Amino acid sequence: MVTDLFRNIKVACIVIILTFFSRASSQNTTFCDLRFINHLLRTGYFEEALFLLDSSDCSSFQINDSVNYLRGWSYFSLNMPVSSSESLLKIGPASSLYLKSHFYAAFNYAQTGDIIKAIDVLEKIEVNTCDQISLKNFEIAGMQLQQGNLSAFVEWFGKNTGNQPEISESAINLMNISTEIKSHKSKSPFLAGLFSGIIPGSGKLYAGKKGEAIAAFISTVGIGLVTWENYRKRGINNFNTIVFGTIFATSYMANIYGSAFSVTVIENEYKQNVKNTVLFNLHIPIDTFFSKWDLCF
Amino acid sequence: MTLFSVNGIYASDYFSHALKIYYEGRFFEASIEFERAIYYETDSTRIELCRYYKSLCYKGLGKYDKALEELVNVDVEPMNDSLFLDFQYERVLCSYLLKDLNQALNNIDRIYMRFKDTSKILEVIPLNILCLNACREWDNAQILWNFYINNSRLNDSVKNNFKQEVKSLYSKKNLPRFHFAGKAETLSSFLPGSGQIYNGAVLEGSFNAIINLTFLYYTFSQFYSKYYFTGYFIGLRLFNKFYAGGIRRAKSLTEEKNENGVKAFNLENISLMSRFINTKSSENP
Repeated sequence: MVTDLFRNIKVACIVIILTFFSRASSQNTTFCDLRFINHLLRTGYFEEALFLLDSSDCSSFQINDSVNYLRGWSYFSLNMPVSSSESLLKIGPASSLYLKSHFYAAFNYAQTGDIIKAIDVLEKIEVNTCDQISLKNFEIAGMQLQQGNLSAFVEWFGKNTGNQPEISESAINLMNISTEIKSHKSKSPFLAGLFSGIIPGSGKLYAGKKGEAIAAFISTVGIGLVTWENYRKRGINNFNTIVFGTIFATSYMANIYGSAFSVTVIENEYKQNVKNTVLFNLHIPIDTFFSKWDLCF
Repeated sequence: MTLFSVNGIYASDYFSHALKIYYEGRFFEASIEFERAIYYETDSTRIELCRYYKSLCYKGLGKYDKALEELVNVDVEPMNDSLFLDFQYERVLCSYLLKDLNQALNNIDRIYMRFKDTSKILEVIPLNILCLNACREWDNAQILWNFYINNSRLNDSVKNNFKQEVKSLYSKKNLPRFHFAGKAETLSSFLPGSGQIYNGAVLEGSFNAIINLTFLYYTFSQFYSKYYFTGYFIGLRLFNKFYAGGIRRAKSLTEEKNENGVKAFNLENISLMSRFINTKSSENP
């Protein structure tokens, strides 16, 4: 009798355990599997990770910080900085992912050129250790430099202790960029246009485009000579003179406009280049600083 | 050990789930689920199977490079014959679709080296024919066609009919003509527009010739009338632009023409292959 009872209890236990395992197994196929999503991110399957995170199972998931972190990281890897920041900023200070997420959220805003928002995010970050304070000040300094605000850059840069190995090399680079910005002389589109008005192509030479300058000079002067030749031999009212004259006038005016435009393009390229270099030097320290913060799911 | 077996149960569930999604045609989701099965699976054979299906998902999505990437990371030699053939077939197909013909032919050779039994290699022959056509190895392709027909279980009269069709398909007048890019360029250098005409673009070639001749005439007439600047800056420079452009166009047209010719010829081959396979399956259900 007692043996039967024990046997029944044993069978019941086995049934309960098997039911638990089968439920666990079936739940895992539909439930938000953060460990696997993290694996997808590490192996470069960003779209796949985002797909799983956006599935309804993950949206209703309890561990919101982890979900938001992984979602933010997926967007970051897919080069969607605004969406990335939105997700990363949802992570609260109590989370171990807080610091990394907020630093990256600020960096994302800097990438989009929204420096005010980026600095605002950085200023609100609650930092405790010297290293963290230093990193925060360094990032703000870099963003001020990206904005072209040199005095603010110097001020924030001065708040750095400068001892962190993660920062030191990038700090030297930012310092060099600031020196370069100070010595950079902006070119004037007006002057470029004026030069091209006097000698066709010289505005492009001023803009630094030697090849284009030679081409513009030859073509404009060539058409000018053709017009002059037709004018001298056929007279002002001749059809050929009028056609070539019109072509010459158009080419001459277009060359003036082109020179002014070239200078604007070159200045924009210079600014974009500075922005990219600053961003690169802001990314390296946060990447190195948080690389040791390996996350477990 | 317990953990190992529980993981095994999970992985097996994931694989079945992935397979279900795959057969529903949801390739992107299936590729994720196969990756999940790979992640949790511990048995190497099952991992290889997951990779195989994952590559099929990518192929379904049109991402042939990713499909091939999944397949090349697997050592196929220790596999059983059936799995080896499946893997190699997909490798050949993806390489062919990515226009990497050398890789496709190398993979075909590996199949031939493994199997002595002709019945096993019949499946890969149509692909081999397409690859040989793309390499313009017409004779070898035709030999392979005949081998393919001979090894079918069709009756002799049907086989002969198909052989006849293959013969006419590979007849000299039906084969895509190979146009030499160098020849087209040379022709266009001597007589503008003739490179295009050599490639069959008669209208385009004539138009190019007329434009070039017009500018050449204009240049000479201006020089003759002592309008040297007009002759040089308008006539000669424009002639020069159209002349150089015409030569470049002749070259690109040749490459385009050669590629399209092979593509059209392979489409004819595919149509014949479909008919052959249909006949085979209707006669030997």
